[in-house]
Amino acid sequence: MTIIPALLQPRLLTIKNRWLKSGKRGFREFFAAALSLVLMYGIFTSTLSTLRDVRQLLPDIIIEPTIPLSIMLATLSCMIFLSATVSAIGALFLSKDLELIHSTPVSTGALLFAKTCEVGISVSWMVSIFALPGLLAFGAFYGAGPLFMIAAPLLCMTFFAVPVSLGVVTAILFAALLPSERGRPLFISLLILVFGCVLVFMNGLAWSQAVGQDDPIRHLERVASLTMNPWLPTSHCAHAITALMRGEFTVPLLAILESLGALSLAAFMMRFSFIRLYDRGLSRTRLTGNIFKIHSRTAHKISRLLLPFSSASTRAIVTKEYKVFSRDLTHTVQLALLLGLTFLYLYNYQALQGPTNASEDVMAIWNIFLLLSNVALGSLVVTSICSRFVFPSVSLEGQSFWLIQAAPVSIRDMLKAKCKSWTLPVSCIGGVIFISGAMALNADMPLVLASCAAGVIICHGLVGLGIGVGAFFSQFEWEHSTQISTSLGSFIFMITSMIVLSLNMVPLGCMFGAYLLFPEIQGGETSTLIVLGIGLLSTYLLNKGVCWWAISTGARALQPK
Amino acid sequence: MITLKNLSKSYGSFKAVNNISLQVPSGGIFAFLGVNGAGKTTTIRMITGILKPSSGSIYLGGHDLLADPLQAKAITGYIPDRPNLYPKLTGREFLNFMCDLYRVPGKHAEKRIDEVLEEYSLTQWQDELIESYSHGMKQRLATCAALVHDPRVLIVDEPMVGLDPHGARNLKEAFKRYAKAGVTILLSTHSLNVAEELADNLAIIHKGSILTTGTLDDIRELTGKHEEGLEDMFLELTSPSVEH
Repeated sequence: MTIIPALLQPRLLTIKNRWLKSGKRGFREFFAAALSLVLMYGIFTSTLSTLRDVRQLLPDIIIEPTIPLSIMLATLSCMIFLSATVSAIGALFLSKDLELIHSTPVSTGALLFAKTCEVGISVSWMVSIFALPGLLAFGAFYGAGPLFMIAAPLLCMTFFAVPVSLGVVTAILFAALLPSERGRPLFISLLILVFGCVLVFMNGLAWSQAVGQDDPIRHLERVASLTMNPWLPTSHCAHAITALMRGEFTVPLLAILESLGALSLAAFMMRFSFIRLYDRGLSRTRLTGNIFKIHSRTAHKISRLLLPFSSASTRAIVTKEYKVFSRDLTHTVQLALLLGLTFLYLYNYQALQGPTNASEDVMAIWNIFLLLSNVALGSLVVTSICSRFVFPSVSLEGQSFWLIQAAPVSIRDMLKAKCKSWTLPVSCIGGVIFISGAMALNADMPLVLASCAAGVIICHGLVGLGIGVGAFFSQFEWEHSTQISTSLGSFIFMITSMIVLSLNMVPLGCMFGAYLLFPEIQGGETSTLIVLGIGLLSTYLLNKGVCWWAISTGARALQPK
Repeated sequence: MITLKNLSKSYGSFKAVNNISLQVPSGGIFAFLGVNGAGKTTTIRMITGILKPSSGSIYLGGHDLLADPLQAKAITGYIPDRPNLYPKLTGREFLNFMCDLYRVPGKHAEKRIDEVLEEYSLTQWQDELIESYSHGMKQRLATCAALVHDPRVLIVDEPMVGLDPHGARNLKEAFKRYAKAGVTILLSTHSLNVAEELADNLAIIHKGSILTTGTLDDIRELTGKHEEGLEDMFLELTSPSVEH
């Protein structure tokens, strides 16, 4: 077992050296870490004060923590599973240290355990920053003792070890069954699947509109109570944490035993799949070359046809981005999982229909809220897509970055080309999300179109921000590419995205508000156009500004030093 | 063709390159010699625009690299010591990428790619992903990439690393041909026989400073060792016991 700390040591020393021996870059990372602590404190105090305000305003209502906790645990489990799958592919199959490790006398068990720990640490720190303070705030609100502050995080740790293990199992299965040389066909199949999903969704939408409208509050309650299903481990864990708050220990102890049982089962599956399939997966990820030939001349001609008005250097970078993306195994996995989540999001959004029995004013305010939340939640999905694909884009240049540095292309143009190449696919995904969301809300056609346009504009801003922040926190010396999206820089990207999204809500709120609260605007074509035009123009200027600022900052950070 | 004026590069208090000045004439091979850690690669990386000098200036074909980097880089080709290329591109795709970055017109690009692939025996591998190439093949592809836009200046860092004897011989012959055709080649190496065989002029860098520069005969004159080879002169000049 002593070999496991030895295997983890290089990772920990790399982090230490990056902080202490990298000059400005180290300071940047240190700043990001300090910001995380401030954010944790902010989440803790704001959750606590919100809970206290609610109690003051509605003293008769007892806020039961089990439902929000189970929703939070279910969401985090999904996020951890997704991240663990992708990280495990990187750590177990693509990491640069694998050749060295395999040539040393390290047992398979030790390798699996060390790599699982590495995956667990890399995927859980960001979750801890967002979830832990909320959990502790609930504890403080309910007057839980100091034992809760220790026992609850421990309980969560045992619980979250299960999705990490399942992520590792999925990664092994994926690498063994879908080898890297089939990345491109798989990518095309996924695209077909997405179009299929959108069609199914649209049909479902038509059906739900035909059948009639549901009471939104009841529907939301039903969706929320799904996570309380007694068959789901999240509900057991939520009940256990609630019991801990009340000072009970029997239920938490049982939950810990239950989690340990689940963990043992997951560990067995992990070990079994590792012994049976790891070597096969590893050799398949190493297989390159003669599996299929790529007709490079044709591919280049197509890129010239598709990008006729771009400069040669922009075309070169855009084409390279798409080619590298479609051939990377980790990207394919991430895309598959993220598209699955997007589809689930779209499906669940049908829950938010307008109330039928409310007054016109309430209806209008409810619709403004829904339209804004459509844009906000859709943008959050887009943010998660950007944090996986757009943010790492600059760092993925890796050790080949010298080619760009030595070429007659300015860093700023390179970042702009990357921004262009990502804006189109992200806007397409974003456009589908925003249109579908607005249609699900049964909004007027001008509002559907405005939501779509706003979404596309926000996508441009988020992509620019992702490229800029990615350049600012670029790290070209990675062991495996999946490390980038779980870095501190990615966390900063998420925080800045939230700020940008909040800023976007101001012009969009005014636009939706003006349209829905003043019926005379809905009556005239010109007034509709003016209101929507001003709203969208303001949103465009805001996002263009964000994009410009982020790319300038990123370009400055990447200048030769 | 290449002019370095009072070029320095410091990392904190450590001076990796200390106030060096060099003049590399047009159309010839200039060898830049030094022991490991002498400052060769740092100087090369500054000349290619990858590192920014702490002070001093660099001119490539008359273009100031710091004031007008794109013009200066457009006439330069760079072959690094470690060929880190995009593994998920094929050899041909990579060369197309380089042609677009250096704005080589379409039809001429196709012709040049065919020529360099043929010259470096990579034609049959052009549609394979670079990740499947051997180290020597990657090195040859990096050389193709540096030459595909017909540079006037070629910067080469440790060119023979990872090449088999055939590859090394071919590359040396190629360098001679390019120099004859008017390309200025700056060759950084610690392989003295390569420098002796190829270079018209050379400079020896040691602890970040230029010890001597000139033709082989100039250096023989300077050291007073008229009969000896470059190796003996180099060892004497860079010996730890010698105070510079």
